[in-house]
Amino acid sequence: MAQAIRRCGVCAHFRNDPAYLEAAIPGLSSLSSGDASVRAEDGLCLRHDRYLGARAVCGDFAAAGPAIQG
Amino acid sequence: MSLFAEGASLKWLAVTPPKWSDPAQLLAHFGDNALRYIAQFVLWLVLFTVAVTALGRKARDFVPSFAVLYALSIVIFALGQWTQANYYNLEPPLVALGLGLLIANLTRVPAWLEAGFRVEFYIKIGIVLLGATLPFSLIVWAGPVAILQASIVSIATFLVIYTVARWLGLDRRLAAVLGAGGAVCGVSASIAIAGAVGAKKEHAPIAISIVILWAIVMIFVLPFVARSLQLPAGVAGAWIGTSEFADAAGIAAAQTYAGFAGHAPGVTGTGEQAVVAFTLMKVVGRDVWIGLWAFVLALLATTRWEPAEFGRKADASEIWWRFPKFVIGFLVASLIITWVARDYGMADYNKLVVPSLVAPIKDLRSWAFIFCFLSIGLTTRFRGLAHAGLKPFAAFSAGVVVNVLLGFVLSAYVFAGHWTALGQ
Repeated sequence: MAQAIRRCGVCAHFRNDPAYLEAAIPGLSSLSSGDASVRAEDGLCLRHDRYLGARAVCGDFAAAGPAIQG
Repeated sequence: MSLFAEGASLKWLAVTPPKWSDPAQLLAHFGDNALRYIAQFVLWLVLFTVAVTALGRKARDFVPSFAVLYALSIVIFALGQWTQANYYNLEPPLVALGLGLLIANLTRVPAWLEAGFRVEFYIKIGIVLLGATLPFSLIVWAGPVAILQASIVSIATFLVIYTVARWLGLDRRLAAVLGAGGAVCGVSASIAIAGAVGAKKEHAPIAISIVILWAIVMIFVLPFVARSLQLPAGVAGAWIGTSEFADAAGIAAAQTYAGFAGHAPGVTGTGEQAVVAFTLMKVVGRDVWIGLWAFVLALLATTRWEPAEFGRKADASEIWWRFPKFVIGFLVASLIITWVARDYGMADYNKLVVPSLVAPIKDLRSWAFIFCFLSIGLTTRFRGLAHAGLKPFAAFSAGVVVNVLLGFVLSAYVFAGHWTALGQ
């Protein structure tokens, strides 16, 4: 349960907003888009500089906001 | 559909510039049909604005941008209808792409203007509209061969890129992202596999830059080489579907070849065959398997490459989450048109259904594709692409060679009869 809550998708280091990704990943908006369903909920981990699925977990989790109880 | 069922027609809304040889003819057409163009613009604007708003984008950014895109599209469409356009190779996809590239790379497009240049959005709408003109039986007939041919080429291309990349000392995850970009569906595959294998931040931009460069090159190369070889339209469409790297770029190439069919010396078949063969090969043969590729590579990444990192596990549900959902729209649209036309014999179908329903849908599809082609050019800034490096470029290019040659042999020899007879 705790691991589900602490997954990357709700981590402060994680960014998967389509507009953010299109700005951060050169070329993404040229022939495809951040809205593509094949991208699922993946995003960038700013802590590790990796492109990860939202369900990944690691020891550097940081709660993104007051609603997240680690 | 309801317009057809009620005996009316989409024809009035699906207005397009006519063939012309004298500019006065064209001006007279626009004068007579101004209201129809305004109505069509409003139709597109409302549909698209609702959709982009649902995706979380701002309507106030999209509306002015789409207005500019629509105005440019009218110019492109009209130019393509010039009776001498074919003689000067002014095919609408190439003109739209070239104009877009010039504007994007030689001028500074204001940020607010870019909100409407949604390549993937327009290409998917165009493909769904294409589904609405295809009998479902045609998809069932051609689909298995498309899947077989595309699978052979996809697997061979991936293995070549991955092997060469590893031989050159590149990271496994970068090798996988490059391989999927060349083998499956270009930029979309690169970003999907980057997430599946937990790629480094720089891996996806490297693969995307190379995919875009090769995809743009192939928009020009494949149709003109196919024309010089006088390939039948269905065969050329299948080759483009096997060997282009992105849906939008491939449609541009296939639509270009569609313009050659029946006009260029020795090119037999219909333009529709080129576009349909491309779509079946690319969408049904390649795109739908991206989830499976992602699952298998995620399995490898989490069990063999870096089992302890990020607590990730390969999950079979990934096959569905990454499934390109527009394919469902494409198939459902085909099922609907098949159901609507179920009671019509061939003569009545051609006399009633085609002019009042199928032909207008094709015209609307042409508009969606032109929005797409322009958007490709307008969003492709070569100076904004990531620096890929020689080794990734070499690995990807090795896959391009295999992909193009194998795709040609399968399309023009092994399955030539199948693709030549498509839809006949």
